[in-house]
Amino acid sequence: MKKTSRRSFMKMVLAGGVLGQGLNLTLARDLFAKPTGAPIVIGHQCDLTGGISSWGYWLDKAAKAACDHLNANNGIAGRPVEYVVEDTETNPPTGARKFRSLVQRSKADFVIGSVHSGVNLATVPIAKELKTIYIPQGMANEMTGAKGNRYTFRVGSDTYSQAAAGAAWALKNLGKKWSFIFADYGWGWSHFKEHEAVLKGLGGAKINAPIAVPLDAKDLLPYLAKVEKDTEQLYSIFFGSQSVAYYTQSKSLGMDKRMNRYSVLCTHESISPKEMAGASEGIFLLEYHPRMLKYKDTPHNKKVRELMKVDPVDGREDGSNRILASSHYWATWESVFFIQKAIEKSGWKAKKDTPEFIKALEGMQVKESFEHPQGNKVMRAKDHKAVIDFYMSRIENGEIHVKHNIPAADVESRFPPQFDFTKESF
Amino acid sequence: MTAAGVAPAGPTPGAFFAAGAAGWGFGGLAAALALLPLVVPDYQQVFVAEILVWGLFAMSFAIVFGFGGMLSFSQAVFFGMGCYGFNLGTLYFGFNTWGAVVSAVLAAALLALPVGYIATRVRHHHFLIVTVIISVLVTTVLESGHWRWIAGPYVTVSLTFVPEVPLGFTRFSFIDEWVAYYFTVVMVAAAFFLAWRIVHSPFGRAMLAIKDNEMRAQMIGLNVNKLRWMLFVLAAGIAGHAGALYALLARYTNLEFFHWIYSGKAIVMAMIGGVGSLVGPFVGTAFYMLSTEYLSRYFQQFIIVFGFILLLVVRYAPDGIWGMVLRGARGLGRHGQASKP
Repeated sequence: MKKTSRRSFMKMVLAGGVLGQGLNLTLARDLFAKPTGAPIVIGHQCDLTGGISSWGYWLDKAAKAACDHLNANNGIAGRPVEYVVEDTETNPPTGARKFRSLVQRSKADFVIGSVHSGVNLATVPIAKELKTIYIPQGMANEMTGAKGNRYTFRVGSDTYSQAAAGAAWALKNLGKKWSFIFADYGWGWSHFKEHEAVLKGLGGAKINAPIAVPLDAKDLLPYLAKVEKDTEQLYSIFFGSQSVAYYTQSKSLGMDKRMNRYSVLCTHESISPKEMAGASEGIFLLEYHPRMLKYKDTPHNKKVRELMKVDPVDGREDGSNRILASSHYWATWESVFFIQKAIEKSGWKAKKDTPEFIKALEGMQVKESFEHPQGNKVMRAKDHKAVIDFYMSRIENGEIHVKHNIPAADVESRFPPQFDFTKESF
Repeated sequence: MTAAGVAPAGPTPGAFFAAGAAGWGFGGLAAALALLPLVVPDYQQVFVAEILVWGLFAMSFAIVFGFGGMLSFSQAVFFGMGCYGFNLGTLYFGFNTWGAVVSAVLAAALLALPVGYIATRVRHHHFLIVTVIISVLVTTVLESGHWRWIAGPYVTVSLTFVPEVPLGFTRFSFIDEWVAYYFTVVMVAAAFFLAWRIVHSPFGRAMLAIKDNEMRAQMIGLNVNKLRWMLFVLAAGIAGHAGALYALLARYTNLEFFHWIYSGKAIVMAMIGGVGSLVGPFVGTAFYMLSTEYLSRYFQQFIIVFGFILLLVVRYAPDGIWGMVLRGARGLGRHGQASKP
């Protein structure tokens, strides 16, 4: 055996060092590889001003953070992601125009939609005409229902899934005699009708005549006086200042003592219960993702909330008074990763490959992860709706505490597809 | 106030000059609109078409206010009725695009008959209050779930098909942006030409006389209430026409189009351009929509910037941008004549 001299040892060390350094550089290059090629453009038709801008801020922040994360990790299929946002002014005609602007001017390949149902309904037909994937964030069932099409997908919830998720637990635990009080327009009536259908299916509920309150009514006492005496739970749907008026006036009438008040988190979104001076104390709220971190204290959820820079209890942003739109922000975050997965699964390269992208997204299953912190979900092929987990929560001591988890599997049994878009041609 | 679009009475040399200038102006504008799709991309074509539609809506306000002296807050109701009539014609009666546009104009004009009969019999702020009440009443009834049978499924609608324009031997689909653009241009031009002829007719002159001095107009034998009512119905029909064109362009209509806030929007757009003419509202609408479109890309609180611009316009161009342009042109004309030997 050849004896290793000092000179040969030094040579080996030097060669090893050079090789190691070379490998190191190669690894480093791979680790910090910059995506190359033409960017994939993700547009966001976002409500940055107007009535829902307090939510729009978070939906924009989450989608932008998701795109930044992708770009820092080799983009999508090695291509960079360009994020373009346009303001809808929370107005349907403007929103529809901004969708066209995103697709035709900014050349967006995919568009995440507004959280305003009117904007969504104005955009859905144009999405099909421009053959562009549209992921609206609004709650109206119609976008992925009677007025939907094959180019529209829903990652979050809608009035249909909300009724399917909450009604059974509420019927069992909050009372059999229901009264409904809501703002007299599409959203309020949609909640009433979806609940009425689910409750009839479940059986055993007594539903009093609905109380529809004009949109501009500030004094709700005449309407609250119509609530039947035998009511065990009062389901409410109001938005903005009318929601605050409802909580305050129903509490001052002592209704919180006589019956359970129940609603969806949309009526309390981006509002801290602490700022309601106790008016919403005790109310049950259906959440689509818990406001308090401790009820979904997974490493993934924690990491995404850190990116949002919010505290773990109230969801208040560092250095501002903004409260996290906790039940909605995650949907734009996840929308970006649904797009990523469908691109990678289908081999999408350009707009002409969109039919393959749609087939890849139809029926896609995702596991709870950093990309999908809200939980496991399935993007149903037939009606393009994701089936998600819900939470029944209650406001106690100015905080929103989860009382009961409603897993997606439970929801699905009362939430069958009503349409089949897979039969629609591209 | 004198309508800038109305030529002075009698065939004076000035009138011939004005008519000639107007002819050249409209010819140039027509050529520019015809050639626009060759130089602007598809998004801008649809955007220009939308400006024309909202401009037509603003013009309907300028007709009732600028020529009839009636500050109407009910124009949005007729725009909404146009959408409703269009949806009813398309989805219930199965009309083609032409039939649906006619049913839109009819729906708006038919509602305007009783509304106008009541509203035009009161004056000044009472007229404004009546139109606001009517607007609130109609939106309340339509948005209430208790009265849903009135609206049916024909108010908030997303079209699930792409409209087509049948032209006897062939059909053009709105899926091509240039079809949507040219159709809108032609339909808006037709409405504009009709309105132009009407305000230049004896009826239009009578309306200006009523606006200037109602009592004097009554004393020379004009049936003031009837003429005001006719003008109101005409403007409603034009607003309904704009509603139908919007439904075609956007494939979408909404209950909120009936809301008086949209009337307010028409008033702002018309005021910016100038309500004393038929051209002014289009100029104002273009200014409003282009400003908000581009400002909103750079400033999240663009509405504050726009408000400031609006204040400047109101302060320095009280007769609107178009009024200012006309004043400037007249000033130049006078200067030119004075410097002649």
